[in-house]
Amino acid sequence: MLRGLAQRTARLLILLLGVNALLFIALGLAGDPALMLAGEDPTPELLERIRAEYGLDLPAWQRYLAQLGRMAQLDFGVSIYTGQPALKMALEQLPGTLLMAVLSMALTLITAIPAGVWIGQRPEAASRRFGAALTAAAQGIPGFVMALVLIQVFVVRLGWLPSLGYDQPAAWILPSISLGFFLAPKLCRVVSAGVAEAMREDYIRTARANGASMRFILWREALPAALPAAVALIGAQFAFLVSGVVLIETLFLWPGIGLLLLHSAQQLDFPVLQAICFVVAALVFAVNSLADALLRLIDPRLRPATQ
Amino acid sequence: MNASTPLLRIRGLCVDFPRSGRVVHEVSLDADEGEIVGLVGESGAGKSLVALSILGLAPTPGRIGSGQVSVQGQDLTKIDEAGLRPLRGRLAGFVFQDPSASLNPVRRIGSALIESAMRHSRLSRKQARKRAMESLRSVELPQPESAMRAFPHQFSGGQRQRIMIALALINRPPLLIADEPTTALDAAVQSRILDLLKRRAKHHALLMITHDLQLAAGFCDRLYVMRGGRVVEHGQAGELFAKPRHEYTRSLLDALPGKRAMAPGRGKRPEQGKPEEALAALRGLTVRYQGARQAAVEQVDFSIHANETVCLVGESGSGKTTIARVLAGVIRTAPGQLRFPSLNEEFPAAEVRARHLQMVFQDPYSSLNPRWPVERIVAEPLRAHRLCGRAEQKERVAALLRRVGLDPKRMGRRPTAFSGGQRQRIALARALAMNPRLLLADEALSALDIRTQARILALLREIREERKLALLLITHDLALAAEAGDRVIVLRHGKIVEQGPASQVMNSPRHEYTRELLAAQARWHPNTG
Repeated sequence: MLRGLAQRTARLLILLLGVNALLFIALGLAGDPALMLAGEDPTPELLERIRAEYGLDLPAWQRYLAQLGRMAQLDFGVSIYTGQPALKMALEQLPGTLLMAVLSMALTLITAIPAGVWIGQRPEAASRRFGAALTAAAQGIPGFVMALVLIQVFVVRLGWLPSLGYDQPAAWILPSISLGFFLAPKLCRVVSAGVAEAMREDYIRTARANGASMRFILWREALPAALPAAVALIGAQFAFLVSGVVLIETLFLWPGIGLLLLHSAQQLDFPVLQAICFVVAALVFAVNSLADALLRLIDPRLRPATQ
Repeated sequence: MNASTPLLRIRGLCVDFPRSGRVVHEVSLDADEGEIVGLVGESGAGKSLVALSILGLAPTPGRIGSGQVSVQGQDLTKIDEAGLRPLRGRLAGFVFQDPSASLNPVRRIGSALIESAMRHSRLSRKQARKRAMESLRSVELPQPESAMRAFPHQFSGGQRQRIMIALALINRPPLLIADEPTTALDAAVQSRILDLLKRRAKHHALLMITHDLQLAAGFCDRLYVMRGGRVVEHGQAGELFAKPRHEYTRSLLDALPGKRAMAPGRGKRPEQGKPEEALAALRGLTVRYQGARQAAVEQVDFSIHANETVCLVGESGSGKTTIARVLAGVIRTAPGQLRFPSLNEEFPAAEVRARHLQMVFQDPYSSLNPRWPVERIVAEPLRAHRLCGRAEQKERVAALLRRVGLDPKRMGRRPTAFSGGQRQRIALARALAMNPRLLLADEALSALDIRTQARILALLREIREERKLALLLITHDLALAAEAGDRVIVLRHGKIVEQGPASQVMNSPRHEYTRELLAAQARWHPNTG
């Protein structure tokens, strides 16, 4: 257990180093923040001064090492624009993002699992085939397209829901649904495939021979066998979901870490971008670890032998 | 309930499938309390379908076309699915063949038992728990308390089958249906499970489905023999076994190991070949898998020579397959532990090795690539070692297929178009393609019906004689080993406990364990003589 944790932490550190190096290179290619800061028509002296102030005049490897040293102490520096500590800015945006993540995950689970079980029960039946085709189609629609359609219909045409605003729960609905579209169709397919496979297993025959009802068989025998694959999918897809968060937050102007990321990227606000990447990487890591722990909990075969 | 009506009464049962038509024809069968009734036949005979149809469990889209099934005088064919469900497990309990697949791997034993008990009777959870414990005790599972919290994979095959029996009996059904309950188990475990079933059967009617006629004759009171969906013969077990009336039953009996025609030259004491001519020699072979406490194979010595059949016998976990893997080169050994004296080489190159030794595997379904035509499967070793061109390939494959008794015209078909026995012939043709000196058959006959087994064994013998091959036959079946082998080597826990000429090992076994194995096998298998 402890050894596993140590291995994971080592992996996280390597991951963070890699992410950081990539980001450093990408930002170096993206442009010179001094030009952005100086405003219209900067004089060479002004640029010089700004570069000296932010340490931009040093060679790249020196800047990289200095930055690594600071990051080891969780010091990401201050935002070039607001002057606030970068990590604090990123963390302040986290609750908004987490709220949307939790809402859309709940939505995903309560729609995709029953739908998957329903399709998986008898995948060859005509109605279930239609359902499966529908999920396949839904999987093909990019999440942001879905968001735009939802805004067009429910906000612009019908005027039933607000598209903006974080304080009124009614405004939470569309972003959560849109973000749910990033994962729900995939999850539905994994669950239905898992249930369909389990339904062909010998132990389902055992359950039937013991007089179990179809409902019992589906939810207590087949679904538990399909869950490990579903949890593994959620763990693996979480990073992809983060990219969805950026898109959806941008579309709905949702105050979260994705919107902050967009703004910081537009302004080449290096410290804030670094801090966001750190927070997101840590989050992905935490979710993956959680998924692994959960897998071990629901699939007894993965547990270390105790007998 | 009418006193004259048997507990289970089947009359003129027909089962239909929309595409294949009628699969079970006019089957009639009775089973009474305290009676053990055997339903015997080869795979595909419709035995399981009859049993499953009793409580409407035939796989969809199969359905009962006509006929009557009654348990305790109640006609079950007139009851719909919703009405049948509460009767399942209460009128009849089922035990299936493969206990590792028949228990849900992600559910605890206790919850499976408790929920099954609560489904049928108005028991509180506490009472159901008590009932579950009783049930586990009645099947003599050690430590039922901790077993309740465990998952299926934590038990051995025999223990899992005990759990299956506990599950089948928890609602105290008058009828117990056991579909090949011991086929997946080792001989000694098989014997203990049969003992248990026999003890439990005193309070039930037991319908026992098996492909093993010998076993059925020793275990059951009455037998029904099925073929092609029909009951061809039935009667008292002893009588039917001694004086079979139907031709099919006779052919089944003739195919039993020990009854089959002896090959010429067998029975004489095999001469020991010279050590320097051995095709393969193991010296102090020891294999320990990573993280394993015990060695899988320990200090194993034997060698095999041209023109002899050596049988490696043991239960699962005895190290048989590990030895096969070592020979095949899948597992590396310490220097000197495996030698090929006739090759004069310590580590022969892959191609030399492939010409020297080829394998046929147990499962004829998974050991052939289902997407490839037979021609490509058989030619694969030739192609892998670039031994023949395209034009020549067809000819050579045709010759090989003819040799194993298959029509070369079918070489364009895929494995799914062939039966289990035919697939094993294809696998044999593939092995022979390299013209090996040593043929290794790892349980290659165990998945086959008894008559098919006899035919493949005869073919193996013929080819061995013809090509002066050495044949290493790995099996858990002592009777088969006794029949096929010149020499028999008995393995237990990775060590050789006994080896010698087949007749000697079978007739006067020296080691305790061999005697135990023979006794376990003989226990339920009456002599065929």
